[in-house]
Amino acid sequence: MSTVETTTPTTQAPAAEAVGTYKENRSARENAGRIFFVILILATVFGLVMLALLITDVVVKGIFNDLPGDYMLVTGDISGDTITANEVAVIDPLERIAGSRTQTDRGIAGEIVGTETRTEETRGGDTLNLEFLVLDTEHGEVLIQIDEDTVILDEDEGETPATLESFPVDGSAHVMVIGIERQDFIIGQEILVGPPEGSIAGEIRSFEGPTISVQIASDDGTEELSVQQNITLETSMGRRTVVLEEGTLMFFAADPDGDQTQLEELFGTRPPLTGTVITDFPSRRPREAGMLSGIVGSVIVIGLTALFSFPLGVGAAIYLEEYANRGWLTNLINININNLAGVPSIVYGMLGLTVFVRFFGAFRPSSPLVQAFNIPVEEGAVGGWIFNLFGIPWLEIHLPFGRSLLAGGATMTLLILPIVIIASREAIRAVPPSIREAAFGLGATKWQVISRTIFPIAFPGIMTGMILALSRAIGETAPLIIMGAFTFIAFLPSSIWDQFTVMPIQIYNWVQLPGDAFRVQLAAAGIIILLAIMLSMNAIAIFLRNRFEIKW
Amino acid sequence: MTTNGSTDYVFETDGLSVYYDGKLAVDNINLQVKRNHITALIGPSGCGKSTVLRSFNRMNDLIPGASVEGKIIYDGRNIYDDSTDPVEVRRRIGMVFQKPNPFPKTIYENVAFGPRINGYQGNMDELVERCLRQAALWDEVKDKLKENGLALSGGQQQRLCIARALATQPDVLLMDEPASALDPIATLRIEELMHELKEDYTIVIVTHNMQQAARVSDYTTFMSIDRSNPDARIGHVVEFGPTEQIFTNPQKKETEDYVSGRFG
Repeated sequence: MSTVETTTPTTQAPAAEAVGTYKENRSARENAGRIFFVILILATVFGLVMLALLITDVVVKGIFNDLPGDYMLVTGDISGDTITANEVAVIDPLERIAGSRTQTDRGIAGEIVGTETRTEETRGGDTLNLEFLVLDTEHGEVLIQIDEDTVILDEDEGETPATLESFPVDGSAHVMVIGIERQDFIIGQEILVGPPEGSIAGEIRSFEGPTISVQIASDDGTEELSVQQNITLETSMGRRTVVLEEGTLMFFAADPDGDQTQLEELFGTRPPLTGTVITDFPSRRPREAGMLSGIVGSVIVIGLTALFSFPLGVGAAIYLEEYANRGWLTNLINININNLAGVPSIVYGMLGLTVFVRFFGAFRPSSPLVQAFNIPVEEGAVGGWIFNLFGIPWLEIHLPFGRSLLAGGATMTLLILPIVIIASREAIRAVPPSIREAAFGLGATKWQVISRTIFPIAFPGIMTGMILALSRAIGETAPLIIMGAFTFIAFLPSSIWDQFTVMPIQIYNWVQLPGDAFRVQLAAAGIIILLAIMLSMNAIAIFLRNRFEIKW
Repeated sequence: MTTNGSTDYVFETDGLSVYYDGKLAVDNINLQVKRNHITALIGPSGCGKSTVLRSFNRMNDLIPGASVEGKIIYDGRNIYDDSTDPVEVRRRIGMVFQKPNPFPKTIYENVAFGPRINGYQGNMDELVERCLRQAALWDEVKDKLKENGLALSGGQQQRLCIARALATQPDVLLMDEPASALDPIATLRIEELMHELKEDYTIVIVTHNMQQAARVSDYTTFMSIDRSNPDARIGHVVEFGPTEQIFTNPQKKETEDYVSGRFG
């Protein structure tokens, strides 16, 4: 009581300024605040988009995709005159290489001693010209098949650099041959039979079939040998019979009692959850297949989805809860939002295809719009009008969006928007009316009540709904397949206009492939990774709810 | 009969009627609220006391379907005039609610909320301390200003809400059964506080508790529903006068029945 008495003299005129003053013109201030808020949101969205572009452009492309500068990349036809006697490393002689990937454990280094062309007959009866490169390696002369996707790393000075020599096919553990090496060709021997039939490792069990003549190459030179064509192997996935054909590579363990897993580690079947599943691109060889492009694609698509759906969804929820008049139009919108939450996701794929990927065909070369204004469109599946608004190279704008990350994010936004709106409305409705009254009673404007009390209190609930919606989106396959996401992407996107794949599509693709290694091991590994990401997102949602939920 | 800020009356209502969704809730209220006095509104449940109170600072505007007829003259102006900003009305006429409703923020931020949104320029720490002292809460919370307002007891929360209402430096405090959710000791503290605040503020209080009305108020308004049409539940003022007169010498039978406990 005495404390009150000491302060009362200063408060004789409470309505007038006692300690401070109030600014005039509240409505102007209110409008200024609202405009500032809108600008802030726009700036944030713009900044985040720019950041996403910058990250995908500079970081992803720069760090992951750059080749070491010392090497020359040779693809396509190889003239013997210019590169014979050069020290080279041949990477993935039989595999399509997309982009400019350098990290591989498939390759061999040596000096080119010649080239060779062979005419082969395929099973269908066609003739096929195969280019071979004869390399003098530390394992002896090796014949490498060349096709136009073969990448040859060539050093300017003509010396084998240490990095080239470090390419595996480790001589101490394995001998690389074309054909079969006589002394190790016995029952019980661990071998690995390589491409072109797909790789498989195992212990020789039996020989069957017609006898064929095969060439072998080793340190001692080349020789001929007769073996039966069908070899049955005991592998980790059961017994498999391998048919020897022209071009088959066989690897023998140098130590006849060698460990099978040593060979499996080289290629063929592989333990599923090695780190390479998340660092490798898709490949037709299970040993090398991974889902890096799927993971990166999923992260970017989900990021874009979050970017679009948060302002749209929360804005819609605030409008519907706080501003919309009760009427037939609002009722119609409410019913529609509730129904849209239950629409099958594949329908959103069709919508995304029409609206975002194609813009209703407005930028087709034959469309009236293009012809009327003579817009310079590019043809093709992802063609359209590509222009640059500010002259900044990575700030391209593509109309329509095409089968790009941006179109994927926009489609996913449509898919989760009803869920985000419903969850946000629930969170806003859960704010007690007494809080609203208290804020209004203090002279807060409607926007101040919303932005300073209701939104902060509802925010944990909004975030929970948002994350749960996003974790649904991360597992969605159908809409993106309909929309035209690819199943085989062996490069990282350089911008949001690039083609993409996502994790579930990669898994779906693996499940369809014939090999056990794809169906059983890689698909399982992919599902585990997908589940881990999804569950950790849900865990974040639960953490947010428990940490920030207000107990009244 | 217009007034200005220097007259004795803070509020004068002229034929105030409130409708909810077109249905009449209170009819033809004519009241005067005297400056620096406590005016109590008493009456049975559902007679429209809170409705009348909430129309003094246009809180009824927030209820969809509510509409008001008649005038409330405050500071020489009709607060229901089209040119009057309801936000400004609510800043100058503070309100304390039946259930303590602090924001889920710190004690400091609860008090600072009103000044912040109204663009207060001055020493916020001083203002917060002064308001908490006026609400007789300072000594209890001065060491935990950064703690959540919801962590306080019910009585403390209600005094925090009073401090919060004082922080916008209002003219009038409207109190809607401020002690009904509190125990007798907390109620006593709120009543003592009201006596102290009377020096600086005009207070209008709605209460169910007739002893409370008799203890704290200078003037009392007895409201009741229209007995000729009980199903419509239309509230009206039965009697208005100094508290002593209402409780000891009521002019109307209905008032006497109610204050002596023989009503309904």
